Amino acid sequence: MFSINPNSGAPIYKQLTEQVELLINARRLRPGDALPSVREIATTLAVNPMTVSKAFSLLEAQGLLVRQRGKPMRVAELATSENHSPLELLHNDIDELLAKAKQLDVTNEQLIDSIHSRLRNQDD
Amino acid sequence: MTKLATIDHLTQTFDGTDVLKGITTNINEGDVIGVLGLNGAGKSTLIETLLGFIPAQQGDIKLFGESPLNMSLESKSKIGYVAQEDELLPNLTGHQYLSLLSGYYADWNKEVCDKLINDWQVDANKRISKLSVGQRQKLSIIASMAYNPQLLVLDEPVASLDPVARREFLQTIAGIACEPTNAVVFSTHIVTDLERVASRLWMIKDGELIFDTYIDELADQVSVIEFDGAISLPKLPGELSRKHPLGNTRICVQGYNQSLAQHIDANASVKHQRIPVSLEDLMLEIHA
Repeated sequence: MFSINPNSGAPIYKQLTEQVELLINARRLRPGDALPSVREIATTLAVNPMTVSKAFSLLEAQGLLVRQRGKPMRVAELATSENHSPLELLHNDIDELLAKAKQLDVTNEQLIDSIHSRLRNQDD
Repeated sequence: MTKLATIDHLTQTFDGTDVLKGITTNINEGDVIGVLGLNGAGKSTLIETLLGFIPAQQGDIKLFGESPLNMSLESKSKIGYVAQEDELLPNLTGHQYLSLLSGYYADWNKEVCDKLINDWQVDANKRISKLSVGQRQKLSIIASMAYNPQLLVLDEPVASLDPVARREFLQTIAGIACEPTNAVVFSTHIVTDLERVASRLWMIKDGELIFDTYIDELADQVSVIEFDGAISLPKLPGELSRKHPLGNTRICVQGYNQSLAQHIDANASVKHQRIPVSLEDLMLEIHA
């Protein structure tokens, strides 16, 4: 279900939260579905259980997962792709692009023009 | 959080050389501490002093509230230890060795032993002297876990393990860490293992504990900044290393905030940028 790459530079809890978000968006995890327990995920992936708990708490705070006492975490009923648009999943990549553009002294207009022209090329 | 151990200003000097220099830290319940450092940095000395195999020359250590040199049996049975060089009895078979040890522990769990022997494919009917280094290492680890110790200390436990056994070992550590009163300390050279399973990092360089941080907070504690060209800049507050790869300037520095950024901009002739680094990069940045 999940895969972890410690070398990617992204913190492991972030890799986990992003993968759960993607699974929910792709409807591979549906509202009401139960997630594996912290222990199951930690021992399967060989990651620290506190890292898994942290990922779960963040997803709970985002309203994607709900916690039930003594039961596994479940995907929230309202956790649809409308609440968490695919675009939101691109925010990190967009932020990275913006930071790089700033470093290179590329203006906002130049960047937007460049995106438009590349999109046009892709459509051709 | 309950502290399982405290180390207070520990200094060890052998043959006029300071092997450990004023180390102060602690081990809390729930910690999985990965110990990084080059060969000879002091990792094994720290572990052996913590457990009372070597007396502390200066400073104070408490393990389960007691001096490690004079521990009660009750405290001793809460500690599991795997030495860098195994301390098995070569003339016994694996099964004989484990059965001998089981007599010394009230909480010996034969099921755990048998499961790990099976999972890790240890030939426990063979004489220990006939086992490979990796098999012996697995047997040492199994023996240290069989009585469910609250504190497990392992000195380079995966050095001789193949990748499959290494992963299984890490999965076992993750399972131990699911019990919130347990703690694990392990030294390793495999940085990605540490990033996966550890919650906390001790980085030791030349006998000093240069980092003692929860892994989540590492990115806030240390940064690498880069300048184009070989610039001259007075030593920064908290500077850990400075290098000139490919004619550029790269500085590893503790903490990074607005005021440090302004300080750098005011003193450097060119703009700097902060580059994201993995723990492995950081290790090389500071040591190589």
